[in-house]
Amino acid sequence: MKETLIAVVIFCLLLILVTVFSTLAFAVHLLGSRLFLFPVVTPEMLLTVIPAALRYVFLPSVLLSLFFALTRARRKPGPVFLSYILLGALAFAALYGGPRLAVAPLEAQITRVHTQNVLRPRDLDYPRRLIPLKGAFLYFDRKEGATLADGFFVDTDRPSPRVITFDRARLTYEASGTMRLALPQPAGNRVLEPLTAESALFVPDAAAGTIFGFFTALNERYLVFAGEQTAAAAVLSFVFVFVFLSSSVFLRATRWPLANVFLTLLILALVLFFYNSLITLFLVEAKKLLGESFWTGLAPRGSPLASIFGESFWSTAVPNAVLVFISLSFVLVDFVFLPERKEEAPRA
Amino acid sequence: MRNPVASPASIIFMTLLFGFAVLVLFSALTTSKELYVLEQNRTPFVWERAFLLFTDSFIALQCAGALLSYSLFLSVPSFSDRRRFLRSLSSVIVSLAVLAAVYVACREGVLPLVKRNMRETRTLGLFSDALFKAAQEKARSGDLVSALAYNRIALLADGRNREKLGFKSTLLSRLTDAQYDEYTARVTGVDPRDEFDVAAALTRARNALAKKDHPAALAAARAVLAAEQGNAEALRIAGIAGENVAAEEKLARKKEAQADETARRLYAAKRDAVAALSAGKAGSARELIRAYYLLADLRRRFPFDVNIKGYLQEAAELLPGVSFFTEDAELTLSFRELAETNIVFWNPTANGGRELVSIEAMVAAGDQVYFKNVEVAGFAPHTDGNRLLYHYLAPLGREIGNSINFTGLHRTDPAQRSEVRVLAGKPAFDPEKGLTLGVPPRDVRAYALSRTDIENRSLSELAGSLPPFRQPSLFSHYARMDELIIREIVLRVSEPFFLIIISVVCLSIGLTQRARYLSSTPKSVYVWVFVIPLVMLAVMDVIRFIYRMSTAFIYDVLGAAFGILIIAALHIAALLLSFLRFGMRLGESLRR
Repeated sequence: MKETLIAVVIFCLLLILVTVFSTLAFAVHLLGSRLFLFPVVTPEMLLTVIPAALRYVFLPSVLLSLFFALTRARRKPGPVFLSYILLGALAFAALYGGPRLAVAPLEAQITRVHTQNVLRPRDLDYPRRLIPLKGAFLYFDRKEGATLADGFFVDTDRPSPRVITFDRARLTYEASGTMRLALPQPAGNRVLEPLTAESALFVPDAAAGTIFGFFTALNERYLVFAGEQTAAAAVLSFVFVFVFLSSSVFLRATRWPLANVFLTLLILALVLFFYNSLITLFLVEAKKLLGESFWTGLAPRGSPLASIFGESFWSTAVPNAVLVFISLSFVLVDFVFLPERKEEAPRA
Repeated sequence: MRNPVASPASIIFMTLLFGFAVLVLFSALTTSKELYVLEQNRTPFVWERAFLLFTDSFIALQCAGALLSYSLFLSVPSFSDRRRFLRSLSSVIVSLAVLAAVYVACREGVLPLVKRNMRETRTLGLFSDALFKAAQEKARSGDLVSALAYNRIALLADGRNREKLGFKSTLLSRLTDAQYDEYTARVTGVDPRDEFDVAAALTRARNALAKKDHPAALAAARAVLAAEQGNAEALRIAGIAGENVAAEEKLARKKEAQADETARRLYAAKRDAVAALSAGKAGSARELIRAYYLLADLRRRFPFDVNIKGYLQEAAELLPGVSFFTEDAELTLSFRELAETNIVFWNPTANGGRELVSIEAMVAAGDQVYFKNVEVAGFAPHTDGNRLLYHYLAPLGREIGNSINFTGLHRTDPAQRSEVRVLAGKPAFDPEKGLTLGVPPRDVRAYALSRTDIENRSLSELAGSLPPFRQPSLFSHYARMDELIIREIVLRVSEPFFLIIISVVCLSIGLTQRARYLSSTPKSVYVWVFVIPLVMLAVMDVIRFIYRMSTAFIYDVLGAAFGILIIAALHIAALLLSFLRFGMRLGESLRR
């Protein structure tokens, strides 16, 4: 019992730590990819970014914390089933109610910030300096409010001649983060973007991007329902938690805990990849092959069943059911076919 | 397999070695045939690419080795006293420090050289391929001599390429005698007409007779007879040609006055050309160029005149000092993969003015550096409102000394030239010299927007652009560039510490997650020895990205001084914590 409670406490602590760390990291990514010469990093700007970051990292944070807590629980086992129930319940509660509880207090603030358009140009420190931008260079003698005076713009994206001089050019900054410079006609407006070297560090490369992209796809499914506390959100939260709980059977696959951790991670990745892409692909391909009749074949038009067994049913309930089936088979292996004997349990 | 004697360093080293071997195999299998790498350079390129991948994977492989060491291969030593424990701990610290030094040596010492070699290998392949394509284009347009000349240069780099060799044979078989002579003179500098060859002379005599050029046939036949008195065919040709020449001589006497006039004109033209050449040698670029075209024209009309040939050669040797051929410039600038693009900088002028230079593209081929679309804008001083004084655009340019020369010439047509287009005002530049550079020519490419991939520059290159190595800094006129460079230097300097920290964390995790086999470890377990490094490659990519991003963010938000201080403090704290945790795990036996 003691070990179970310790595992629960570890899960709670890990959840807070992992969520805070992930949120900050994601916020840094959001800011850094837009952080260049002009925007000021104000507390209000941070406030707009952190709730969005929190929403995005909540699912992976909860699941990661659950995984590590399960690793601990398996290493120092108490009553396994009780550990499952407690950890599962906590994780489910976090997934189902967490985003709404975490973000709701900040909604009003976020709305106020957006309406006031607190994102404003930094007091430019770079008069009389060549400012390298993405696809351009900018130079001005002085800044008068939001107007740049006595300068030139070298547009490297257009054919020569590319030097455009101006006496006055107005700078506008939109809430979306886009900065524009109004040059004299016929040059017109130009969007100013940061040099790649400046923001490249904050954008993941191909390999890291692939891993983040994998989580993004799962997140998108989750975020569609998160915060609304509907039955669909509950089902999705339950399914994710159940998959992680059940796959912890692999944490006792061998007498080498490190290998067990890697094995479990690989199996989880495979299962979620299958959930993410193959089933959806299957449904899309099935629809292409069989046509619209695939959706209504089992439920004749006009019948009450047609409104239930529509496209959303097949694209959410079927993948969830497959995932639950896989998880159930893991649970059967864990508790029925190959139950853990006390003498096998690792003593760390 | 448990060996209490071996240290974690040996396991990590073996993992690195094994990882390198796998990467060599991977590189060999995946170096695509589409890459611009010539066959003879493929093997060294494979090794260099493997080293590049190894350096990128170093951290992941070291962490994988650290994980595996205590987790699978090593037993946790039992320490009877604190001294042995501290000795063991210090040996781990020293090992990790040495490995970090190896990483730095690989990354900052060897890797820049490897990257340079790889770039040169690809450049060679690219040039050879591009020249071959240009040769094919010339052949299609009918200029067989140029096609053969370009193909010859392509073969210099890729002498065993069957396609290029076959193309050469095909072209040679299509050349006429005159074209072959021209090609030989162009590539070897030796005019075959200067070397007497009986068979060639006889062929010339035969061909001249067929074309009813009786004087040439007679001259060639007499030349053969001078070498071989009894040559029957030469006698026959001389007889036929001689009769026709005698008949023509009557006619020629009528034209004698005209011939004298032609000779006088030739003499005058030669004198004019030589005078222009002398003026060119004295420093007039315009006269030198005029001399070149005059002499080229005379050479075409009088190919046997030795004097004209000598003067033309002299002019051709002096010409690159004052101009360039547009054909060469356009061919070199067509290698876009080698181009530095979007170069913008302030060019200090002799009179203290402010001149902005914008260059669309620059390609260096050996010691020849060509520029495309050089745009220059001169501005009044700040006190005068930064007013535009002049603005001009030169489509082509070439680096000559410390100038960008704009005098692009056509090989044969003096009327075709690349001209400078004045867009505003009255630019004050010497049309013969072009744009005088107030910055060292080697710095020009540093200002290219295409080279702002700071992450891929070496530490020495980055540091070399800042004080005290360079006063003022290379980018003193730019906004933010110095800060970005310093930020990257901070990241590079802190990365070895990150490597040590993450390795110690992995050692701790390995200690915690030890294998607990009662007897010998099953063989099937060793599959994970191959899988774990692969997984760590992906995981470490994510961790490294988060680390670099966070460190850069701290620097950006807190500024240079305070940011570096905080970063250093965080690294020290992380090092201490990680070693403390590892020490506690390692010294478990002491507490029992």
